[in-house]
Amino acid sequence: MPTTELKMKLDGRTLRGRVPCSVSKIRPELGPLIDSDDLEVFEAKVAQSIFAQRLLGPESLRFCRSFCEMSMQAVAELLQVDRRTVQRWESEESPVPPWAMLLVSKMADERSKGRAVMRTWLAELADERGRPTDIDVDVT
Amino acid sequence: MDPEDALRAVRGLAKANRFRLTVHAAREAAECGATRAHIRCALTNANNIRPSGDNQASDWTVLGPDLDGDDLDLAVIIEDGLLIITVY
Repeated sequence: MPTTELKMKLDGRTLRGRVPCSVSKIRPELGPLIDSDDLEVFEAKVAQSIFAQRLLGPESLRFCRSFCEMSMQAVAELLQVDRRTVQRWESEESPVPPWAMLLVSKMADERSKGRAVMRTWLAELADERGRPTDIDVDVT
Repeated sequence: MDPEDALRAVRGLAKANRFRLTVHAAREAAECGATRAHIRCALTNANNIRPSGDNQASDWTVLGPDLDGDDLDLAVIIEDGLLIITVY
């Protein structure tokens, strides 16, 4: 199958990869087309690279957040910060804290592998309800 | 196809992940750091559509909110049960 190169430019870095493409029989004049599923595979690899390389920056944060299909509000609630704080990180008004980048890129990395452990943990931490006040710890 | 039917088709096809992008549109989106999720969100929640291009029966310009509620303008073609995004 023919492929074409896609580049994602994030925070001054270029992440590139080749994705499959095909030409429509009905509208060949449009040239090669990329299926949305193949685009998602490319984005999954970008998300994995961001986490693996520990990339940090506003565009990388925005990419990871949107790859997780989360609005700024949804990320703000999970990280227990104001929506405007996330907005400031993404618009370079204030630096992205490494802890926030790590958590969001980890969520994106897990989503790329079909998991959501970090997202579940953050949701549980953000939810105070049902947390026991007495806990027996096993020291045997 | 009238605009109302076209809007319904755009939303339904996007929801079912039945869409493709021209290489040009995919590269434009990637250059802007926009993801498939932003595009899908704008299409599934599209609220405005108008005919465009040479073929007014299948070529449309769609407007819809992305994940953050910002409006995205997309040029699309509805063809053979598939949505083709030609301009991001």
